[in-house]
Amino acid sequence: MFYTLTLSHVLTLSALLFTMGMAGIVLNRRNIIAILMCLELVLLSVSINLVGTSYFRADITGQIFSMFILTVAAAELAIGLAIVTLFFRNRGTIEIDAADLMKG
Amino acid sequence: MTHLDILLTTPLLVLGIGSLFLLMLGAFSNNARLTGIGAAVVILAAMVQPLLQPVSGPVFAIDGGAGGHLMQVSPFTNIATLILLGIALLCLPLIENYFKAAKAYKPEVYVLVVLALAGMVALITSAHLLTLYVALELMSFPIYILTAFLRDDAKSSEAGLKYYVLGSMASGLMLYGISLIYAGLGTLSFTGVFTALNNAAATGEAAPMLLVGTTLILVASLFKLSVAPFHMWTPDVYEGAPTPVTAIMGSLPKIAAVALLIRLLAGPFDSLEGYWQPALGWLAIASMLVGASLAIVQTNLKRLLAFSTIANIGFIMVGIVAANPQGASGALLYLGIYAFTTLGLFAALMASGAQTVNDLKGLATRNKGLAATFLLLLFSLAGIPPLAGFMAKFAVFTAAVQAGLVPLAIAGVLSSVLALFYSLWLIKVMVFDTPDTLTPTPKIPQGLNIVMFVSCIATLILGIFPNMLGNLTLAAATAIF
Repeated sequence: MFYTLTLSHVLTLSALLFTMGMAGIVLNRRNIIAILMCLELVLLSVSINLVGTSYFRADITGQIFSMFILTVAAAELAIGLAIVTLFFRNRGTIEIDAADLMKG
Repeated sequence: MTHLDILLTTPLLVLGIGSLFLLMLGAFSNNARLTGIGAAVVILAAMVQPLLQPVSGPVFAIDGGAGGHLMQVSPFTNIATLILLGIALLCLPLIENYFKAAKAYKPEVYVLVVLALAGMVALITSAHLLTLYVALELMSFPIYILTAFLRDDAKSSEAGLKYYVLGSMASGLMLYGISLIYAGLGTLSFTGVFTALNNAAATGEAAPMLLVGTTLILVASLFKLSVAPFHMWTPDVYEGAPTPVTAIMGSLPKIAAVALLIRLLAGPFDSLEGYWQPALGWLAIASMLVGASLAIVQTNLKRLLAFSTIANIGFIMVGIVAANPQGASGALLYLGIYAFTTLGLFAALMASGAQTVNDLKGLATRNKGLAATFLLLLFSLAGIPPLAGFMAKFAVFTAAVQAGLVPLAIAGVLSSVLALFYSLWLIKVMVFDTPDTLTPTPKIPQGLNIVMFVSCIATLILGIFPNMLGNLTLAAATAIF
């Protein structure tokens, strides 16, 4: 039994990954590194969407866009890790709940 | 594309190449002040081209081949760029004294500011969702770094962390929205999306996927604007960030994001007006009321200004929601006036050295000039005639009533009353409360004096002759509708 891969399969996979990533960011109460990983997951789910659409619509724009996303994601993660390092140096922990100096 | 056309993008080129030049200057001279002067020169150089033909210039698009146009320069983008860069010049003097006192005065600050400006100019002129995404990130990244710039300050790094996580989440949402639009329409350029959405709307209901995509893109821009209910990050980040960075954050990215939002709603998403107009209208009301009412209960001055920002962005949203040239022009006018008023207030805040409302007690007996500056700028922000803030509010309300959005104008007036309440309360604390100490405030640095002076003069002049800026913004806004 064979199934043909269609655009809706790609979109479903990407939607699942996107939801996992977002849920990970919102529900995670412990580790900041896990949040950074979830952010990556979100960006990659978008890349799947773009590349899949690009293939099925025979249009190159989506693939170029995904290259840009990879580049920007690298820069984003570098900044994120730097900020997490600063946070760790100042507070001695990378737990989310430690980010509670300002409230109101 | 001829060599003359590429000239129109000089603001972006000058800022981009200028930031690299400043990086080298900073690295080799290790002289932050020199880099700061360099940054001012770069910003001034970037203003030349839009100044030459602000409203008479051609509408010009940079071709991206099969993908469609990538960027578009028009009178609207020229005026928005001019307002942005003018306000940016006013931001520069705030930086020096604060970072010197915090022992963190390094050339990088200016490099990051100029880089962020390049992102903002690219955002204002973007005409393709790819350019939009890259520009938005180029605008955000330097500001994340600036927020966490005080390395040994726990609050600064916490603010940086919060801004980073929430900002990246918002850009993730926007990217997903872009990918849905691409999957649904197969095109990413503004003109392509406009045509495709028009066709989709003509043949019946717009597909749910396109609506979700549009919503996600708009949500991300609203997040950058800190419109309620996407304002949660604003108070924390405003409080934790170094004060000049808070001032920058409260003015520059807002200008870029509002210009982008106006162009998105008048351009690609125009045919979905029936969907976004009521939704954004409610958000504008929520923003005005939430911002103004929560500002009343704040004791920290930076948090108070954060909520005041949220309320003011609500007013700007009223102009945007009106979706007519008067509304867009009012939004731009409001934005310009709001930006320099806030900068003046932040300068006054830094000059007084106050952290909380109680620190302002009896400021009038300790430094009359500073208290008068506060009074003038707070009254302008609350919308007392004949100051500039009143003219700005008048412009957006007129546009809202013209568009038949009377409830928005009523909510706006309510919010103004609340804003007047906390302004008067601050003035009461400054003028009538007995100060804890009678020592005069320390000598105010020259840079802060300049910013406060320019801000007060502009508040007075634009209050009496609002058309000096209003005519320009109206001509700019007419060009895109």
